[in-house]
Amino acid sequence: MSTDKLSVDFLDPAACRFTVSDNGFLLLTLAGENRGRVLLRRCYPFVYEDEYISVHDLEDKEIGILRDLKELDGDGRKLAEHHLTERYYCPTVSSVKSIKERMGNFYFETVIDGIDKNFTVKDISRNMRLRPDDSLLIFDADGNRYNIPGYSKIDRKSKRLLEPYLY
Amino acid sequence: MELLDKILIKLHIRKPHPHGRDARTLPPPVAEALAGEGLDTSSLITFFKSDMVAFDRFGDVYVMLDEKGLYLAEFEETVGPRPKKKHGGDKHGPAYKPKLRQLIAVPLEDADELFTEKNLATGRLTYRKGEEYYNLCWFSLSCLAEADRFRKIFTAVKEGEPYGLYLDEREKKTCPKCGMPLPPGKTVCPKCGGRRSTVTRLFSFFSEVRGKTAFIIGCILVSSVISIIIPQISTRKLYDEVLNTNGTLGYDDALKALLTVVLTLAALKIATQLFNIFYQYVLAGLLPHVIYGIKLKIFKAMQRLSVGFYTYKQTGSLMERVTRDSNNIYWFFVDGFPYIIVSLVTVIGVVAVMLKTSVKLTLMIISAAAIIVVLYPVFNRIFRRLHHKVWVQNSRLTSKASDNINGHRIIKAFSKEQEEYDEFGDISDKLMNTEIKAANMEATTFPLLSVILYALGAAVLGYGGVLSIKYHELTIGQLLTFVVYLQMLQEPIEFLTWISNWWARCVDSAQRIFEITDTEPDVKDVENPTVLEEFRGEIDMNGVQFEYEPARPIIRNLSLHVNAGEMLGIVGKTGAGKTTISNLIARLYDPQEGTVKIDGVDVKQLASKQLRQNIGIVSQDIFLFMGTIADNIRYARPDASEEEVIAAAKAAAAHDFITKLPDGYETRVGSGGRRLSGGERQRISIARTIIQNPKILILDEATAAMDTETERSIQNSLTALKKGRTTIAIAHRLSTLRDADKLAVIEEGRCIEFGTYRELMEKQGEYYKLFKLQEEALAFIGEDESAEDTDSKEGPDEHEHR
Repeated sequence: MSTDKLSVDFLDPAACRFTVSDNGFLLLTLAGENRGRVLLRRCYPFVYEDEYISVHDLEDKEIGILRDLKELDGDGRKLAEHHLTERYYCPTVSSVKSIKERMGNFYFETVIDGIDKNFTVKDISRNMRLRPDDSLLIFDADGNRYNIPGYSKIDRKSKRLLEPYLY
Repeated sequence: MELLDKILIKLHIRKPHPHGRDARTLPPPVAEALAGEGLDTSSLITFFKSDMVAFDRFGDVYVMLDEKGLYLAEFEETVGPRPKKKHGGDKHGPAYKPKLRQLIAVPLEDADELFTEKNLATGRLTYRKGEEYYNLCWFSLSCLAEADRFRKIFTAVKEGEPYGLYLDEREKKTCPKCGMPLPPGKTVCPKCGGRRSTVTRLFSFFSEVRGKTAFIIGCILVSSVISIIIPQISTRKLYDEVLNTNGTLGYDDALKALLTVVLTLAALKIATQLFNIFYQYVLAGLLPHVIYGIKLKIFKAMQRLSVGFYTYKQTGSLMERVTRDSNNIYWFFVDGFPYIIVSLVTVIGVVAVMLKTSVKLTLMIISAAAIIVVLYPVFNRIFRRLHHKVWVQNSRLTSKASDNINGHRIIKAFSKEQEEYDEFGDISDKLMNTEIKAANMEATTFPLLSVILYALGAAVLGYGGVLSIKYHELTIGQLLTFVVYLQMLQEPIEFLTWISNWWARCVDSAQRIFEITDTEPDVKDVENPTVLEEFRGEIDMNGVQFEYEPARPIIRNLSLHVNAGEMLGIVGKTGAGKTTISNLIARLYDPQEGTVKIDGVDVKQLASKQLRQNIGIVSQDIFLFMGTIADNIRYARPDASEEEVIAAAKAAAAHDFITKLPDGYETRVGSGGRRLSGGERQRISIARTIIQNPKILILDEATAAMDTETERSIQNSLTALKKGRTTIAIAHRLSTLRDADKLAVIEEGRCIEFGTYRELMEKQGEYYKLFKLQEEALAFIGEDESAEDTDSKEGPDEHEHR
């Protein structure tokens, strides 16, 4: 089978109308049909934040995929973007104060939004990922993830503490 | 009352609490702040502390529940260093004065249902009233388990059901000592499993051999003391009393003095070596014995632990505990521990002797040593970082190579050799650069350090020379002895500056070992378990609720009944929870709610040995242990005779292929043994179950990975196996369930249909749909199942009429 036969039936952006309920939940009307509360998921959360957006209903069944949020009308796009920001929120670490190892666990003391935040990382070499866009992702023992958007620009002390554990 | 609480905590006994007991753990300042707003926290049923005030902002929020409603108390963020805990007092300390920002109340009648939602790095509780959804609170994933427990209690309160079980669950998941939540899958608090207690326990491994340990320490001490005396003879005495006497000694006296020096030196050297040989000989015999005990303890603990424990631990990390961690301890005590004593004695002894000879010069040497003490840790840190980088790059290279070797067929099939080569080259390049950097650093730093040390030595010699020549405070022999002592000090000081890291690694290894030996299995026998006189195999599951991880229920309120000797077929989509049902029956896990009974007795009350002996599992994950085919077949019953092994293999249709193997039943299989096909391995596992002769047989997709022909031949073996046993058969292929007396259709952990084949077909529900879908699929791929279909339509009726 040649690859040009592989295609996805994307949702028609003109048929999608995103609104928000009084309580802040994202709602979808698709081709005039009210689909109620919906959840959006990024198919490529790192590379294409606003493209290939999978739309799910409350039963978590996929309604369809949006090719690009830019194709939505202004309000709908803003609402969808806000919903994705909420769903994909990842705390940004501004500095690392210390990393201490104990029993194979690494105890991080960091600063996030000006607040001291401590967390524990297991198997540190696997749970810290330096990405090609210079961001550093850290996954803690509870499944939380933390981001350092510009690793090369972080303060020297933080870099000195983090560097030994990076691939 | 408080004293009683303290005693119970000290004894690690959980105190039974009355209704509203969760409220007791609410920090007093928080309770006070809430009381100020008119909220009576003494009547709270439960609460949890969320760590986020909005989806993108951390802060303290207490989410509470009582019989009237839900409450949300948001506090000002606690900024600044956390106050230190003193003398076991309130961990929030006197400085913790939370300022209530807002208190929101939601009457119970305004919330019909509560939901736990999970996002990328956060979660939230939402509630529904009628068709409308409302946001209750946000939290990080660290609070997910607590939030979901809160949701369950809310649901129970709403429905008037008992909720004590969930409160107990919370207590089990918090440390009885500090009250902090335990990490998932752990029963030992990382905070309270203190370093001091670990050290005491580590040394307790040597308590059985304390006599030999004392002998070793004695030998090391004597040998070290002699080493300090040697320069006094070899240098001071030799120079001052033999070589540099300015002709005051005659030839005979000089020769006699020289001979005395030489003989004394030889005797001291021999004595040192003898003591060294003594302690090394005893240590070499003692340590393997201690390490053997440690390994045995870990392995025993691992056998005792329940399946749940293994889901939280990677096999690699567990293997490391048996091998690497115990070896870490071994090498520390072989190489590190004796040298600590030697170093300490050398440093103390040498400094004492030097002080006695010349205080000035000693103080100068101590200042020089201080420079070493400061410099070494700095360079150590740099090198450690560099070596870690090399290690990480090396691991990456190894992983890439292993990936490549394991996936070589796919690589060739997709013609990706060049890309793989390039990727390997990139990683290899990075490793090379890191190694070059480390080597360059070492090549430049060590000579620099040596220069510093030589400069210090020269300074000592120069200053000593001035003291000796100008002020006559020192003899030449004493000065040279100082130089020797200076050299003697260098190594122990270096060693003592980095031994702390080695020691820390050893203690960490010990802590990891204790974590395993201290972990209590989730599934364990009650004190006096029931032993059934006759194990019949009647199964009854009632209201069973189960989840592997918080907020992701796998089994939801499931009830099933299977009479002894009957066969129950379980069908459903992948991930519906079918295998979990079999795991619960075999009590590999305990349900969070509901009961699983066998012959009318809750499996939790049954002796696990009797239970497991009477439950046989044949799954698609076939594991053959290292050993012969015969060893594997008689795994469940090692006393089975050769004849029984052959009979079981015949019943499992395995005998034919086994006899065709050159080594027959003595063919070695498992890791490093002969490779067998999937069908052959499965037939051995069926033979293993036949020899076990269980009353309950679980067939979990036993033939799912087989081709049709192999599947049919194995089905015959399974039919033989099922006779006279209660059988739970899980299968995707509905035709394999044609003999089932009852069928259950499972969807998202619920039993949505239950009945005989005919009942379900007449109902034209989910089973009917699945059956038709499969029929069409089989017709499409051209599989002839018509004969089986006819069987399946008739089969169950015969059972019904029996």
